[in-house]
Amino acid sequence: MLRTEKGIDIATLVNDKISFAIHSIQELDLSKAAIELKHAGEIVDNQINTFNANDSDESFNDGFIISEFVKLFTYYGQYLKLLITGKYSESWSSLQDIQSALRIIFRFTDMPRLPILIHIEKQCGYLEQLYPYHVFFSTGFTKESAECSICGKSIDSLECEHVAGELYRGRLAYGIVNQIKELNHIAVVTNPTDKRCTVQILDSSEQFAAISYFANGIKKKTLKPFDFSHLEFRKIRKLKNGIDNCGRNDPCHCGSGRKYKKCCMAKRVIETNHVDIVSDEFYRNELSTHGGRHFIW
Amino acid sequence: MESIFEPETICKIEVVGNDSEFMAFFDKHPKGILCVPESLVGLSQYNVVMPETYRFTKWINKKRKDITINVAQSEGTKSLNSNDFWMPIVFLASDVSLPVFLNLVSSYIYDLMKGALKHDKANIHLKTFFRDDRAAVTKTLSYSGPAEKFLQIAKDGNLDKFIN
Repeated sequence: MLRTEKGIDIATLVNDKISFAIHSIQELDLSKAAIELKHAGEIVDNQINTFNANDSDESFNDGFIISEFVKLFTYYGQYLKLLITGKYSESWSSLQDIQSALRIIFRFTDMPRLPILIHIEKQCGYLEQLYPYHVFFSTGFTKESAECSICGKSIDSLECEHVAGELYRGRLAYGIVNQIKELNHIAVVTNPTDKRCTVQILDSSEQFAAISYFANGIKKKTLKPFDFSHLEFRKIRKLKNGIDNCGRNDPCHCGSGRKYKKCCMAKRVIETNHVDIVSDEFYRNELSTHGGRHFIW
Repeated sequence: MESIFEPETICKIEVVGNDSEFMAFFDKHPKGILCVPESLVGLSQYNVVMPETYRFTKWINKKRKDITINVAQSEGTKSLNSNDFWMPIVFLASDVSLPVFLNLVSSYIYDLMKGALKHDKANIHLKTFFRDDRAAVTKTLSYSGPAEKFLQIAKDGNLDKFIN
């Protein structure tokens, strides 16, 4: 996954801390995980600060990737904390943070994707389906210029040599829009760049019922975070509410005046959507087989 | 029921009626690709280029130094909170055939999608002006649809089965 010796050196320094943090996340000891990851982040930053002009671009890029790796698990811990405290609306943005870190790691590493990253990627895809967000807002505007995050020139010009989204000596190039010429429209889209632009829904809303159910499983420790594997969607048949005590010859509950057996009895079972949250003990099977260490790199 | 948010894939080649802008480029430039603003081809009253224009141009300059690519003067760049690839509207000179151009776009998209997650969706929108010498007409290829389908078109090199 890492290309340089310097990168491997930094990884070795923080490996135990990240492993310990992952273990703490699995046991829902999120404060402990946050402390370990904060220390790991500081170690990575300090090491990168010792790099100088003689160090290769790849060394800087490796430092950046390790830093994103630490962030990934920091976001994962923050996400769980929001879930178990019932902050579902905010947790959506945190789920996007996890995925942004994953995309960066995948983008800039050539090696096959690591099992733990593939597992988190899969989890994110399923978790998104438990939220009520399916459409998003998109603003369309014309920008006069966007400043390059690296050289400060307009990234929308050939004067700036940096390509948005590429990594240059451990720094990501992106455009900072400072002059909007005209706001053209606001659209509702299904596939936005940033899924954080949603309609605000109250945390107490019924629309969060599915993610709230998942969060309760985590909170009560009936489901361990890394053991969550996938969702299974199916239809189930159940009795309509309020008709359980209706006898065949009783007046129908719908108020038609007819006998129940000649009215709504045939319609007493309805089909509803159901989702099973499935666990597969990923942590025990995959992560712990390496003694909880050195499985990351 | 088909969602209004997921419109059908469009892939079509059409003959251009008024091709004066394209011919002005084609007659003067034997080589390369020119990215043009929407207004130049009558798609908008604004003189702006599509979101991917500069990233694509720099990518070509870096990865394919043998191909000349320029951006026509514009008043700005469109910006959308869309995860789709809004490719530049381009004019192709005689040395860049349509299949070559589609392969370039395909490599570009493939490169950008290296970091994509399995459940990420990506659509591509492009409009390309090129000269059909055999028929002596200017044509456009318009594509708007899923990236996977586009990559398949570019790989097969057979546009016919996708054109609607």
